[in-house]
Amino acid sequence: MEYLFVLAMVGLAASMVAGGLIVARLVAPHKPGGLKDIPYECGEQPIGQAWIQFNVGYYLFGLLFLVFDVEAALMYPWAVVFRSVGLAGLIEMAIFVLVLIIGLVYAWRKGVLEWV
Amino acid sequence: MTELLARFAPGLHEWLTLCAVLYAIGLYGLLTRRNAIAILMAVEIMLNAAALNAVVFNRFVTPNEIDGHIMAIFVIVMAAAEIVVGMAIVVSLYRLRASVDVNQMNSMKG
Amino acid sequence: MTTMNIAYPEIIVIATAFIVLVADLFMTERSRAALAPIAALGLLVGIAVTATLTPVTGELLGGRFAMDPVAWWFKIVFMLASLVAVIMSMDTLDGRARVRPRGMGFRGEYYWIMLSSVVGMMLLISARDLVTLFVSLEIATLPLMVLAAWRRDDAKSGEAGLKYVILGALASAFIVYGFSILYGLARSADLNEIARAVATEKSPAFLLAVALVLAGTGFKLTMVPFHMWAADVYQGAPTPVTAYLSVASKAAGLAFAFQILFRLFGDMLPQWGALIALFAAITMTLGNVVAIVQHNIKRFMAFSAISQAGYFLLGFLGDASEGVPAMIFYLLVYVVSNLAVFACIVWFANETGKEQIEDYRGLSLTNPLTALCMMIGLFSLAGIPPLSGFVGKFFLFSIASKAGCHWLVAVAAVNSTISLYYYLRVVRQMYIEPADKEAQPPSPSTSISITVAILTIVVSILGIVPTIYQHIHAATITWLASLQ
Repeated sequence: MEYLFVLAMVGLAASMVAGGLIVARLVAPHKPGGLKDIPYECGEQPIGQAWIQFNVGYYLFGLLFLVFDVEAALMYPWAVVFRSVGLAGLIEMAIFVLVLIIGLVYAWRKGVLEWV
Repeated sequence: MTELLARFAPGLHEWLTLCAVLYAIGLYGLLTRRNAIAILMAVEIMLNAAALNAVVFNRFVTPNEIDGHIMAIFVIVMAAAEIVVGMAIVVSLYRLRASVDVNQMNSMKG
Repeated sequence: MTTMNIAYPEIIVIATAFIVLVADLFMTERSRAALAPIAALGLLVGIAVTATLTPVTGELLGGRFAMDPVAWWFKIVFMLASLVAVIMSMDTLDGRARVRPRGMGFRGEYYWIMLSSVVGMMLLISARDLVTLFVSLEIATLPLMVLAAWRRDDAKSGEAGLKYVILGALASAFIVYGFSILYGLARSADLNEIARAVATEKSPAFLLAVALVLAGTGFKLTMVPFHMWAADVYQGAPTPVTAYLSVASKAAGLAFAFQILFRLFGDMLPQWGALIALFAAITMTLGNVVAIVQHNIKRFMAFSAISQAGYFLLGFLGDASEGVPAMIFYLLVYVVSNLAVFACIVWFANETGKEQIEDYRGLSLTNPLTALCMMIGLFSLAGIPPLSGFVGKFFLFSIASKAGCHWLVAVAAVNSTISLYYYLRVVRQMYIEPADKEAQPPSPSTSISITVAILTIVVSILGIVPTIYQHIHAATITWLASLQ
């Protein structure tokens, strides 16, 4: 009995998708070709194929980005309880960020941020 | 509608099964993949399955505590650190060998 | 109880690490030779502060970080091992080696990473909840992976690093999944509370968690069948790093095993005696048998280290009040003996660039003192009286005997004989085979000579002086009382 609802949900979801596609086919004007066939790249016109070898520099930036990406994951819980942990929490977080800043300064001085 | 949804909300067992399946997928990928980067991705899946497991236990077993959430955040951090180290080594190996196939990594025998 | 001073050792070491890192930024390449002395000084201060710490017990951060007498010993061993490793790395990194390995630069990063790994190990033995334990384990092992892959120009080094990362990540995934299940079953992340909650647990989920966590522990301890990574990583890593890995990762593995087997599953440990005995027998036998056929000295030492892990496991049998001091004492002995041997290997690789066992032929003629020190170190690892290795092994064997595993004592004794055979292979090359006439004899290095001399003296007297064992034993009694 309970699974009947699941089945109904599946049917509903499928009909929503199918309905959208069918309505679009019936209503929308059909003019293929030109710029419409190229992949969507947030409005930029793509240059060349996507299956190329990326510059290894991207990976270095990626690795550096990951550090600060994860830093945010640690700062969110702190931001939620910011008022209750008070000054001590602020100082602790400042130490944490300072450590990461040392890392960034280090990467900077070592020339990781230069694009070669 | 919310009551209807609540009736179908997955419980502890469903979530734990999901975690176990994710973990098994990761383990399978780790054992069968030959591309080093794919292996790192498989490891990431395994670690995240464990993090999800911690969050699930937190939600269903000790809803008033936050130990599981803390565990999940730190697992994410450690997973990121592991991937950074792994990727850095893969990139430097690729520069030397022009390959990330782990089957070719057999220069040491004994 | 909330005094900060129990955390001073960690704070000093991590501060030193950052001083080294920041100093490296503002130094010329020539003046970077000062970085190793800075790192060594920081570790010395850390050891001095730890040694004068009173009281030794206490806890911080709401009981998540605790200091106890056993942790005190582990911290001393960690810092001593890394101090010796820093001194041993100096020649190679400062370019005083005659055969300079390619890609061994970046001194600031090198010492910084080494010191951060030490901090991880020190936190590992002090951790009192699952999250701290897991994070500190990662802080201890991730730097080792970076160090193993240090030579960017050398494919073997990169390969060693990648193998270490993949298998290390697999072990972490096992451990953290097991931890998450334990947390769910015990409804707490505190190690002592979990120990109480799971004392009578028999559910399949709990057994799964135990199996996962023990597999991860076995990996860190290079226990067969989780030993595969060790040989390749030891061989491919730069030689000073191998020296550090062989002692530091073993010590960290033992510290982790202490946390898991005594603190977390302490109530169940007596029931697992047969299983541990089996793993101990397999580990020491496989390590020893495979070591016989090795030609590369680093790979040879890797299998020697695997077999030593088997001896360590003997201490988990029987009564903890005797097993724990025996294991800590043997850890101390193993660290000192292994570092003495590795100091000679590092020096030899620096001077000749060779790392085959056959290359050591005739070393007793060209460098008699170094050959003697290396021989003493190897004999201590084999357990020949009156060297400290014999005393350490004797304690461990007697524990297995008291626990009723007489067959295991017989296996261990046979294994010691096998190990003597292959350690003698190296000694034979040094003392009996004639020296290569064409080759230029290696010249001694000041820093390594002093290190080797001190380590050899310690190896010789550690077993004769009873005070150290007595101190460890007293520390264990206090520690065991706190476990309950």
